[in-house]
Amino acid sequence: MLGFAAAVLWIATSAGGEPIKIGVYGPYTGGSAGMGVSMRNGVRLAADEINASGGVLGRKIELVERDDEAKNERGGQIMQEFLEKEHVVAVLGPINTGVADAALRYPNEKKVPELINVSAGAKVNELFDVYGKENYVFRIAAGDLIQSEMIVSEAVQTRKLRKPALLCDDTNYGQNGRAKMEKALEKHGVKPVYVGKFKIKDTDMTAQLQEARGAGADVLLVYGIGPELAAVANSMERLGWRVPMIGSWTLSMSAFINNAGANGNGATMPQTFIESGASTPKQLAFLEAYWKRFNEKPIAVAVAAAQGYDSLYLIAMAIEQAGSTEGPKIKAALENLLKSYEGVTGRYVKPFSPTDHEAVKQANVMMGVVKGGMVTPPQK
Amino acid sequence: MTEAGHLAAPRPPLPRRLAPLLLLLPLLVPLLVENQYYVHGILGRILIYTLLVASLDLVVGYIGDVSIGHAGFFAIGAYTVAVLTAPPALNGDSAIAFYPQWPFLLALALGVLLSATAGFVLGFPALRSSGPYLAVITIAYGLIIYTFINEQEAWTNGTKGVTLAPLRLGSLSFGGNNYLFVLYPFLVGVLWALRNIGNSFWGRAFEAIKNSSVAAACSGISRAYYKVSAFVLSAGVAGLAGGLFAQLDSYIAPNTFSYNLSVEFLIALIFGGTRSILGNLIGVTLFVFLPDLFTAFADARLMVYGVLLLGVLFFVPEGVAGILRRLWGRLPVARVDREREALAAQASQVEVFAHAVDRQGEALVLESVTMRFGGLTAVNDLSLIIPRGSIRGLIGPNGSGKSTTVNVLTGLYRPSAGRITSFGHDMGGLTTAQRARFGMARTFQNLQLFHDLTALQNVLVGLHQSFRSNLYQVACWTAAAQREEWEAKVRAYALLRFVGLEAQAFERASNLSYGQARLLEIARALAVSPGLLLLDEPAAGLTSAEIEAINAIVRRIRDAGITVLLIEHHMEMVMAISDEVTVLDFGRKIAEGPPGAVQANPAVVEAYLGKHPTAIAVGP
Amino acid sequence: MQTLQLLWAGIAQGMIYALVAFGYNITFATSKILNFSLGNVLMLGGVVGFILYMTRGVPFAAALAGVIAVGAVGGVLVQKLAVEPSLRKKSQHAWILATLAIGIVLRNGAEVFWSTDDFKMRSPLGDVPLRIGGAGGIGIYPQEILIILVSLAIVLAVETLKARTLLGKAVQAVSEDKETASLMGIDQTRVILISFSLSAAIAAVGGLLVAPVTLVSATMGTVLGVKAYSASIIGGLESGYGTIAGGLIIGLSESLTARFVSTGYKDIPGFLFLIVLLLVKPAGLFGRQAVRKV
Repeated sequence: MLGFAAAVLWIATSAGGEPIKIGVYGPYTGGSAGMGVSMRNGVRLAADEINASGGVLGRKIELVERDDEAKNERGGQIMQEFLEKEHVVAVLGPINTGVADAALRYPNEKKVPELINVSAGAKVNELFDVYGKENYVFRIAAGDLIQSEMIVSEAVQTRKLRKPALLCDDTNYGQNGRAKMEKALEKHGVKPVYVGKFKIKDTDMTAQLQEARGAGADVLLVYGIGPELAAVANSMERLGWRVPMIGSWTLSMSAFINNAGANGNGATMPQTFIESGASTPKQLAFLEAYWKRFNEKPIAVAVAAAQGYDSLYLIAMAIEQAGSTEGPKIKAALENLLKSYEGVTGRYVKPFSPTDHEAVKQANVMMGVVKGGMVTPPQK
Repeated sequence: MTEAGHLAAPRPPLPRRLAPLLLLLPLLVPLLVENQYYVHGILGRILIYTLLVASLDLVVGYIGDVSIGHAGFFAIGAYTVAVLTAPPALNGDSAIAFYPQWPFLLALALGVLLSATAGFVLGFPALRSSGPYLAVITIAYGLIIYTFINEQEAWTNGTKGVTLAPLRLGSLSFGGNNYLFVLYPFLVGVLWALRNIGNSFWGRAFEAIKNSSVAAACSGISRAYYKVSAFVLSAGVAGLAGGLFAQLDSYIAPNTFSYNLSVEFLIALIFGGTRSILGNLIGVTLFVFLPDLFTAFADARLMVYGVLLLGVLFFVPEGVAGILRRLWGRLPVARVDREREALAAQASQVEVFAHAVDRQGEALVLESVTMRFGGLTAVNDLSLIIPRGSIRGLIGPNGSGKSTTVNVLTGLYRPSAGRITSFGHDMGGLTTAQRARFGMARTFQNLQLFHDLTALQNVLVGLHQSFRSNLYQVACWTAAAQREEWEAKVRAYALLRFVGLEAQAFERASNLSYGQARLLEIARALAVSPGLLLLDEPAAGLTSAEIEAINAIVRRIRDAGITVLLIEHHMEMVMAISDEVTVLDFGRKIAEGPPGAVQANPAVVEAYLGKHPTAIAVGP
Repeated sequence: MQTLQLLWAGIAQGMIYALVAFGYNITFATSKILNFSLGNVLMLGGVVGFILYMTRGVPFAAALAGVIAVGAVGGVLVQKLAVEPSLRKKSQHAWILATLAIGIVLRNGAEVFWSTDDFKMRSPLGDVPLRIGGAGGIGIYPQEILIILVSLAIVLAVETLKARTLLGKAVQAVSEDKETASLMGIDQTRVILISFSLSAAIAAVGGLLVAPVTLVSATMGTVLGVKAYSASIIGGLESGYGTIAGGLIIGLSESLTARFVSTGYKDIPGFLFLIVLLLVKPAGLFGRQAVRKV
């Protein structure tokens, strides 16, 4: 009798038992909120779907959401709250590089995996040098290394433009991108004719563009976020000078497309997901569900939403495989995913390994082009 | 003070003396609580931010200047520590050329020094500007510092930030929760020092400058010295907080130290209440807990926060500390009573005019002094001599230049021409505060009391020049500093007794009646140990009984050897107690001599009554 | 040619700073308070204008009227909720916290009730820049011309009203000496209320004006608000026309520094100028320094 009761109790508490907490942090208010909210929406969508089909290990996923307001020190504080107070089993996010870098100590110390789903500049593989095998930070987004290679390659190799002007914002993200683009250019034996920057909230870049034009630039390589990149495009129009604009993935933000209008046409950027080019059943289903639930068409920052969605699915998969919610076991599972994952941003077969925590490889990324008010996939 | 042997502050009862031991309790927290989020993340943050807000309080609460640029000092401290102690291993791919890897405490000390210097530089604009002008200067200052940190990659690695290694001092590790063992002593030590400074003649000097910098100067307080010192202290402490902050997350980047951060700390300060360490703590705690508290409101958090702030302000503008003060207000009565008793007992041992300064020469000599304001000549070629130990009345119709003369004498205005000598010293070129040191004190026609201070504290400000302790002694509250403070209190109490305000000693100056306020100004002026006392319409608005009291006081002052220059409109009073009277009209001297002669002088009568004089009936 | 473009950009930007600075001056004159929420009131104007003009398709003139109305009401609310209680209780610093808090509420409110994203607003005069000097010449947005003209017009109108009308005299009286003015029968509360309402309406209009040239977002007012403080102080808080000088100095110094020195440091000369100026002229370029009577 006792044995039976115990067994029933054991089953009852583990099935439909305590929810599995997953931390999600990003900027939900303030300047970068557009990206943060899109990312969170993607994660929420995935959570609902997973829970509707039984959850993970028979338990429901509970999202613990925190707003980092794009402030670095909030990142550290939130991470500590996730790990010490909420006891999440994994962390998703953030958007901003500085926030991720301020927080990275904690998941590594506490051995809880963090799957960065948007920040392209945050340190991921670099952390192997510091933490060795005990690096708990992963990423499912096109890292700046890949993006800068692709941007430069598009300009120099594909389009044969050898006089690039670099124009990036003055944040961690922009400057990181600039540094990586400069290195990539070096590999191609090209020197930029102009390197300039702008501040967040700037609306007029004519000063910088004048200099670039004066230096004879034939292409503009940019790193920044939607609103300011739109200002760059508009400033080009104001000057009456147009050269192709190739840059970071953020050129796909509706904040760029809507605000640059016609001036944005032709802007080219690396994308893991292009809304208008959605073709696979998974992608189409994702879009239908997103549009219906959040009443937002097109998605404000589609790439962030898609990556957010995929990041939770990957974690869920790892937890299932590990059969446990212990950090080291989830990490091991992530590094050796047995099943392949058909995601919105691509098909992932063994995306991570014990020495490489970047899921997105150059092959997964395509160059999108802005045309007629939306991002279009590359011509086949 | 020669009476040193007999004067001693009352000792607080044993429980109160042991209370400071309670401060050791929080040190148990890192030992008992494992949770890093609460200990390192929350408590650590609260400790550091409280230090910063307390530093801001020096400028905002005590001096009364709004600063929205303290993130700049915070940044200087943080970056000094970060760049000097960071290991290159954690900062691969950085623009910084060289990592000195200094010991933590040394770097911290340098950080404090550098930010204190930055505070010194800010002190100069602070002397020239005030109010919103100064506030915007502080914004500009903070943003300039921020821009440099963001741009100078070779020094700071720019936007990519600097990563530090968890703190080790010697062989002990102070990372994680153990960091509290470093933070807490700093916090307690610095806050204790700041509290001592706030309660001492330094703090009173700051508040005097805030309430009335003119009266402060006339009490011998150099506005420049104290104001700049406040900025230096404030910046230094903010830099200390910054240096400690760098090690909190072991990572700093420029965008933390933005204008927004300065605003957030200012909000925390005002919300918690100025001039109260408990208030500082409460304001900071709400700020740190804010995201936690309001997760229910999700993205509308900040809106709720803003509404909460407005709500508290609506009911208690002095902040949370104001609420506490009202509740607490009744409690320390026991302590005040003890002090009052001791003061009352010991004040009789002190001679109010014990200083018997040996001063030579005439009390005041004016030679052809002229004061012009643009086209208006307020004082015209005025010459007079006031012999030592006399009472000189200065009268004249409204606008005749009486108050202007007093202002010129005390150095508020620089005369357009002429020379002023007092006790053989040429006053030309001396600031107001310096003149106080040479024995010149005054009261004001429009009361210039320090309304935030008690009556006793007002007089203590008058005694400012008698304090000899240096800042270090004050901060550590050494026995010498304590003794000096007590002796001054006794003397101040005796002065209050002299003018009859003993019962109001612990009353806020703003609560005094008009007559009481006038008496307080006299007591405060006497505290300066003057050789020459300038009374500017001390009887204005007083009843005859009150005027009688003032007459008696003035006579006693003269009898003690102090020379008095009395400006008044109450003829009975002037004529009754003056030895000689000088009459001004349109800035010129039109008569001078013993009261009787002046009264009968037709020019004087005409000046007051016009061309058709009738006799002025003056009598006792 | 290139420099002309920079100068033009600097002037257009500077006039917006001047407009908000003018708003600060108006409320400072009567209440001695620097209204820290004004930058976010500008944002409110921009957002409301966007909702009316772009989302609802209301004609521009009506949108303008709506913005003015919202601004005016907003100013009244700021005064009643934040300023009056602080002044009444004679607190030294409460007004700082109050106006800052209102700014926070406005910003977060816009994020929660409207959107966290950035949007483009079309200019009623068209978004195609006028080209002067052919290709390679300078581009001028018609909206920029509108900004400059309307800003100047507003400053001129208000200053003239202040000098010529009875209400204007009342405002001056209250700014010189509140107690005496009220003894003279001037309702100082009403005057202060009017000044807050007016300054908020002006800032809101500024938001609508600047929206087509920048972007409409919940955070569009913060940086602008801070720069406008500088413009206000440089010109002198007592001087209405001074704000124009202040705004232009800041706008031009930013534009030229960005080009000829570095974009990173573009704010620095403006700030340095402010600090040095106040050392020499503590009341700003056109402010008056009163001689203190003791």
